[in-house]
Amino acid sequence: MYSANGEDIFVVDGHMHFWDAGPDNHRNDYGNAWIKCFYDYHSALSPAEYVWDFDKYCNYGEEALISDMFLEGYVDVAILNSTYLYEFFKTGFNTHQKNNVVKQKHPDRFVLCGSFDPREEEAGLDRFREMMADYPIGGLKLYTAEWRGESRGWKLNDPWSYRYLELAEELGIKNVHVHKGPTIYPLSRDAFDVNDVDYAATDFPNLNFIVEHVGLPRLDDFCWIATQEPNVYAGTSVAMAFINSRPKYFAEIMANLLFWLGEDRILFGSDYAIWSPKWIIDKFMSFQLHDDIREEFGVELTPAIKRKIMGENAARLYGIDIEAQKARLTQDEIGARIAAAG
Amino acid sequence: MTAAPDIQLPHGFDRNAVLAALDRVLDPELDESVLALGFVESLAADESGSVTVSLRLPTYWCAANFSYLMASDVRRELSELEGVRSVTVKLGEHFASREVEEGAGPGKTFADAFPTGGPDTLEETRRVFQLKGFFSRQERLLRVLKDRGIEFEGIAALNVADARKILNGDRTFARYMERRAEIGLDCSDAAMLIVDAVGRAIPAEEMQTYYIRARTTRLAMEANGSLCSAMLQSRNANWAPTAA
Repeated sequence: MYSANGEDIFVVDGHMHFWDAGPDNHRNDYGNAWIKCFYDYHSALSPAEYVWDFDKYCNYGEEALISDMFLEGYVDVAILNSTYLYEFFKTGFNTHQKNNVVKQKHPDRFVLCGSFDPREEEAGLDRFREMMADYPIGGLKLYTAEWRGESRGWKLNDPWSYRYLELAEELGIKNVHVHKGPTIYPLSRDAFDVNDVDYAATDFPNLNFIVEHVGLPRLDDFCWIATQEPNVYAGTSVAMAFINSRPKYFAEIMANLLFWLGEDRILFGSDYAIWSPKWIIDKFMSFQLHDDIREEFGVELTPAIKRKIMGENAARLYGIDIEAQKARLTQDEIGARIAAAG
Repeated sequence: MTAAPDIQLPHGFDRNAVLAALDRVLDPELDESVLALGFVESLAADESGSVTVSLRLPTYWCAANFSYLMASDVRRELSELEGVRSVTVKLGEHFASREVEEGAGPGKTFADAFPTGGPDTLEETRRVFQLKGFFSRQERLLRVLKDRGIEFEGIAALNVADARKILNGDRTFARYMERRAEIGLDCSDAAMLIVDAVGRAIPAEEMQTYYIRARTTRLAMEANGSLCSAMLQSRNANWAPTAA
């Protein structure tokens, strides 16, 4: 919970990870190159005092995560991404099986994301059903640039993707997070092209598509699609991280999102552990749009709009009753630690 | 980043023509000349007319298709110069340097160089970024006109000849008209100044929204540049350079 001027702000971190990228888990040099590229993002945009050493970054462990997210980082509920990357990491980068271990210890704190890979075709449909039956999957995280054998990516509008989206809807999934943003070596950037969202969002009007990283650097493509598709949402991780070193650029991104999508379709995300929520939230809550930008776009970033972005919008998508959830969170182990710390 | 390239030419080669040819090659996403961006590290020609160019792209993971477009454009522009018989483009430490260098050679297509993955066609990518560059240049032009105190209503009434008179010698106008011609739009004096990608004049009441739209495109193009340069800096700081 973030508190300012006697007011509590409910925080949902719409995008975070619990990864194991230590050398023991590298399948090949790509695993090493991958986490080094992640570290470049981390050190390029974090304030100096939040930059970790590389060893910790590879494998930060559960206690650091609990502390950075919930004890220090104001987060109430975190949407825990699952990203598999078996071509680079022996036991996967952060699979739903591994993520579920921490979810089970703190069930009210995490929404666990599952996934599918349409290239598994018929056999994968059964695995998807098993995952949905065996794990408390709250949403999906899709990663269209993931390698698989010779393939360097897939699209949301591939015929097999539609079979999986149909099944997901049938099994009660409402929210689908899709990584559409900056590429990470060695993935192909074209596989992060945002245009396939346009087709899927039209054909699956009952699913919400949260476009993570707002398509950056292809913000324009994302905005045109989101303007036409009411079930497309802006996941702002990565964009948020620019608030420190490039505040004017960040302001322009926010103004664009407010102008094209409006205040009800923007979700906060830290992308932890690439960046820590604490500094982003501190800066965002005191952030003001520059006057020339406010005037030109005719948009405002008021305290009420910040509340929506920080948590109310995500809570609505995930059916979280904020007051009931706040009460529950005072009762769990993390709630007790926060109370004890005063 | 903007260091001048090291250029070695034998007697009889026109240095200015070589520089002008390189200056015509743009980074498709940044819409700037590779020469101005400092991407050309060196160029050497020998007496027989064989030219070798080394490019230094800002990131190791700069997308293969953009690298390929730049490498093949450098090759095409230089090949047209008098006395040039062959052109070799080297890409330094790019993750796909071998594929790009070999693929951008004579008679190869991007699909030959990258049989698995890549865009549907490279020309499509080129066209997409030409259009983005058009909107981005148009947005800069609109800002220049606004800064001169002309309201959207007044801007909507301008034709090409009016704008040339008002913006006499302004580079923003020249760059806009250049791209407008490249995408095949009417550039005659009587044509309206602010038109969309198919040449439709933008009426006054739509100009505000149109301007913000162009501005979004320009922001997205700049975003890539900022991300690239931030990443290049931390990459250089985090990891010791590998031995050559």
